[in-house]
Amino acid sequence: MASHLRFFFRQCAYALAFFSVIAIAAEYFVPASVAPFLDPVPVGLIALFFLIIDAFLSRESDT
Amino acid sequence: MKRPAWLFALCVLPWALAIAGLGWLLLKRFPPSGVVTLDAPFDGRSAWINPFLPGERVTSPGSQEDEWKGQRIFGDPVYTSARTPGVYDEVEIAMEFRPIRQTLVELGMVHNLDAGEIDFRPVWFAPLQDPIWKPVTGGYVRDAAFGATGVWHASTTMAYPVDAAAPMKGTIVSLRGLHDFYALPAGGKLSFAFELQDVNRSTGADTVSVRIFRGEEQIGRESFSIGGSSDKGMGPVVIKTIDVPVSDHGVYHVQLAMNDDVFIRSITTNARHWVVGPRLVFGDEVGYSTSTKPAVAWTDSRHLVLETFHNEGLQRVAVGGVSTNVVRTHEPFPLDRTDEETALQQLTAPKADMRVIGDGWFALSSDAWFSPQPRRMTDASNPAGEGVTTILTPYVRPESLGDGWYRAKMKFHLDSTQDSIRLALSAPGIVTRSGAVDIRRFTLTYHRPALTLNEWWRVVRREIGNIIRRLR
Repeated sequence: MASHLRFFFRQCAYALAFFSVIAIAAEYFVPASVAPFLDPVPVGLIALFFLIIDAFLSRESDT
Repeated sequence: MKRPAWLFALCVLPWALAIAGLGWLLLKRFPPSGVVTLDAPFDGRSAWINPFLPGERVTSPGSQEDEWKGQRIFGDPVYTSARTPGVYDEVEIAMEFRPIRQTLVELGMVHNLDAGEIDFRPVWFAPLQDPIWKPVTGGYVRDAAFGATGVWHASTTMAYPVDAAAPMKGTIVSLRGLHDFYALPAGGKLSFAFELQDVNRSTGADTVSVRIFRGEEQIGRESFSIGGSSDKGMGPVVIKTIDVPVSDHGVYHVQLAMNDDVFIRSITTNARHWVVGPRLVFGDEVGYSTSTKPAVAWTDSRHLVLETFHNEGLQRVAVGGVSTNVVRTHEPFPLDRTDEETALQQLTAPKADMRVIGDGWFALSSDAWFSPQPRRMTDASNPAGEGVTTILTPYVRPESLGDGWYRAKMKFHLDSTQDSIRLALSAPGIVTRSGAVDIRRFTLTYHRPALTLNEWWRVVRREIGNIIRRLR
């Protein structure tokens, strides 16, 4: 069950990272296309945090 | 390890949410209706519109002393910018404002500030709030015993005399910098010969740009350089002849655009009727002649603004029966006629060296005067008191919101390459009358056609074009 939860958590982290990368790229290429509605930087930081936790959990399960 | 099917089904959820989030952002950027409305309280925190500047003419945006939120404007002009939310064709701006001892307010879109290209729209004109003025198509009218027409950001077709042919006739002048000449052809021809001189008070060559209009339509354009790049001192007098291509009867407008280093020393024309305005700058004749001749013109202006830039220009200036003493340099002095006299009045500035901006037109001899357009309304105008019965204007009385607040709406066309728009707010005379204009909210509604496949492709192409332009 723990393995299934980790898998689900990884998918959540990847989806959030996918969203934030596209949002940040859109804001870079077209200024004010995203930021007035949603600040993409905090979303990106949350996604990064989730990815770090995921990597940490994967390392623990490997060892 | 083999994963159960329900886990894969559950994992679709975060990806679906991410894609839905991107779709939401896409809909914000490309609304299918083609309309996006951005409501921006003017407290300085909006991502869409910035506070007015420069800081010495406005208060800080936010909570104000008398318990309202927004920004107070007490200088003229002020500027702001708004970020466009994509590629749009038109923006409708609704501005909530409160005029305090301010009769006239205009808001304009800045196309080129250096060249003075600002597309102004009327926002507020206190005299037209009086119910004696009845709104009609194209303006406002009132009942009155005598007739006159005013104009504010509008054009009109007027009746003009057909002048018989006339020989070229010269007028010695000393006019400085940009001037607009309006003339009627005589005998189907119209020619001007200007004697121009670069006085080189600033070293270097100067450019003179000539533009010719028939009515509102530009029919000719030419630029030439005057003076050498290292010239100092008085340059030679050169003659520039302009043969206006007359195609029809009507008013022709010749604009000489040049900086104040270039003087017009004489004007020769075959026109029987020709006037200058609304800007008339009498220059000095230092270094050109042993004495400066008094400046004399005839005008229908009721409201003039006088300014001199030299101590030699301090003097009493008179128009008709009223006069004012210009006692300081670099300061505008208003000169207002309050009589109901409709006849031409003589303007005299005994020492010349004076910039005059009027609400009417100036002729350098009384028999040459004609009115190419009605007088402009200015902040000093009192149309009912001045015998004006008709005002041609696109002005629509703003909607009253109570407590002295109003909401005015105006539309501007947008260039698809604009990431942002720059706006100028003009409140002429606001400093003199210790007035203010309070702004508390902007609502920006951007329009483009509703999204079809073709329209979507057009917008995407323009967005890509803008990205490439930005990255270069």
